[in-house]
Amino acid sequence: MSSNDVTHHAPDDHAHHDHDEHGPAPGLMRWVTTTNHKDIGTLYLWFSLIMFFIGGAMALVIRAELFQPGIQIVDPMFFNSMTTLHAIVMIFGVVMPAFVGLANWMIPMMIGAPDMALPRLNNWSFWIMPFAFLIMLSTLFMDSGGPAGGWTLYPPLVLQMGDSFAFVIFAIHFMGISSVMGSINIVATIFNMRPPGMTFMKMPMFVWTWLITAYLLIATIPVFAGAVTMLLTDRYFGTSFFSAAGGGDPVMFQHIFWFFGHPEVYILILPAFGIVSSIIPTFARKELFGYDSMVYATASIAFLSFIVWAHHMFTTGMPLAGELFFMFSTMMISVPTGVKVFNWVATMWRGAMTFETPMLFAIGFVIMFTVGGLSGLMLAITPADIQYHDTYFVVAHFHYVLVPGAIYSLMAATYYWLPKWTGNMYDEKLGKMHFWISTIFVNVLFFPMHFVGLAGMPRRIPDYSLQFADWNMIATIGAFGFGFSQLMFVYIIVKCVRGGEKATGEVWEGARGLEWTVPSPAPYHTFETAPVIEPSTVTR
Amino acid sequence: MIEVQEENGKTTRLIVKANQSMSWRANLYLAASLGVICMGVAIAMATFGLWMVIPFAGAEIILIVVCLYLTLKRLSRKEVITLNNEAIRLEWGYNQPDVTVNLPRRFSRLSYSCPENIFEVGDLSVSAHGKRYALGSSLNREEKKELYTELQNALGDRA
Repeated sequence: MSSNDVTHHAPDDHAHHDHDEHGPAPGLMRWVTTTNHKDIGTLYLWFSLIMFFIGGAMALVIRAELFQPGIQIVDPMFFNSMTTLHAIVMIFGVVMPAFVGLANWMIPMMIGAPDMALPRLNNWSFWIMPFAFLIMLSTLFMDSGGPAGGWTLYPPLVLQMGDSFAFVIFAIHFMGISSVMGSINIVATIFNMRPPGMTFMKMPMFVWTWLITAYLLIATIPVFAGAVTMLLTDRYFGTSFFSAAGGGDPVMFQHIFWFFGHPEVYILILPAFGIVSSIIPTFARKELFGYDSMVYATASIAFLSFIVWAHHMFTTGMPLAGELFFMFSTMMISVPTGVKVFNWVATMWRGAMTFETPMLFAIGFVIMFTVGGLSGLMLAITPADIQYHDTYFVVAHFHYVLVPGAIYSLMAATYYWLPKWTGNMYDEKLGKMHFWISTIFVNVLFFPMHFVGLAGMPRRIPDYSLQFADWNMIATIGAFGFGFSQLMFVYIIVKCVRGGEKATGEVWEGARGLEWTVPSPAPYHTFETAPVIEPSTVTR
Repeated sequence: MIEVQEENGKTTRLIVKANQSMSWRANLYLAASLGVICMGVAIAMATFGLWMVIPFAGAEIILIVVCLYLTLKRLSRKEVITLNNEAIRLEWGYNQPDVTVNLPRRFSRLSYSCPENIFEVGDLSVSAHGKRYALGSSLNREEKKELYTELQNALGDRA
């Protein structure tokens, strides 16, 4: 052979592969075109942090208005827009993208995969999000104003809003597409890219909880997409899916919405369970108690989440058998959830515990999520729910689940994995201060809502009776305290990214799992070739 | 993953491929189970007159199937390096080679650069007559080093 003999059997480029071989591209375009799971994870996390402050600013507008009775600062229509957008931003723009960001960063590292299964799809699923939220938030500047009918978009109220309605539906579709693409990517990655020896029951709890969450998303997003499209056609194309005048049924929208909406609640909390199940064993220096039961409990919660939706609708009226079914099925959720709380406590029991910032947030999660869970149990009781419905007691319940619940888990995760991401330790003293200040103010903010709710203060109203004034004033002080204390969180993150004490590969003394076997910061490409998982390898 | 095969002490074959933890058939069952869940919910909704869920569920099922197919296709791609006394044969493909390159053994040169920057995985390539072919594109730093060592050993044995 005197020259190279090249035969192309197909038009494929043999040098082609889906992610950057030589590390990140220089400049800003790195972030636009990246297909690396760590870059995309970082983008998701920064995006959700920015949205956290946008959604938080909306919450402060709400709380400022409620500082005193009477109309003080904003007009009622704008107040309603704030309550609606605050919810949409916090759910779809903060908690969900943050968990997807963590999934992007950690799942490939935890299971020993080189990247996500579909890196380009991953890029798309992120970059759809900012545009979706630009469209959503732009409605605030339109003549007809932003959406003001609540995040639940109940007809006929929501159909009475102006032409910005179409933009809201369009944005929701984009968010749904992004979520579905992210979920499919996670399912494809977990099923197809585990190394030999990484069996399902060796996967870390965070991976398990995300796998189940992805199933929930795949099952429910088409239902939500169908529901909002039917709203759109009712508004613009003369259909009557939810219009009683045309033979439709507005209550049917509530059924279809909550068939999506209740699993959505678990989409917001299951990955949090996974995070806490990673952190507590590390700082208790013990294996997670009852790993198998944790997996089965997560799957049980996911299953039950599909058959409890009508507990959001007890006041619409339903047959007694329906009320009983939904009451008891809702109560049943407390059984697997109780298993989880028990296992976390049992993991800590007689552990060699230390209380670094991630552990503080994780313990805060366990305690305050349980408070939110208990008020949820009260709301499951049909006759009691009819009294509590649409009061601030409900607001207190879901905020305890979502703020010291989901948001605390995100903060715990950030402190826990930040040294792995950046290669630098964060400022522990400031981290602990952040925890204690946040915990004091979050309780000052949300606990009084139980009292005003039980006393009958309705939610989503900018004005209230004088007897609720004191507790509202206290809640508003808590809101501003909690809101501004989050600036500390940003400062700690930025300081850590810019430098600090160098982190080791293991970072935490009791850390277990594959992600701690790679250096800090984690290399741009982690496990291009599958690591060997022996039966004795600790992966969770 | 790197698999090394020896044939009669004369030929060495290195098969480089990404790890794949689930078979095509198992993926088919996975897609079917997701499809049954999605379409089951959509059909249940349709019986109550909410038929507009069906097209979204259908689109999602199509996306699931396409994504799983693309994942498996990518993971099935192999790079086969066959070395003997005379030649180095490079093949890339799925079930059969899509691209084959034959290089003269005597005029081929193996090169590897391992950068100090942790963010870079390094370049491993074989070149002959002014043309360069990247090897181990699905491998990371450590595995590229391993492939380089394997190739060096195999080439050294026949030098």
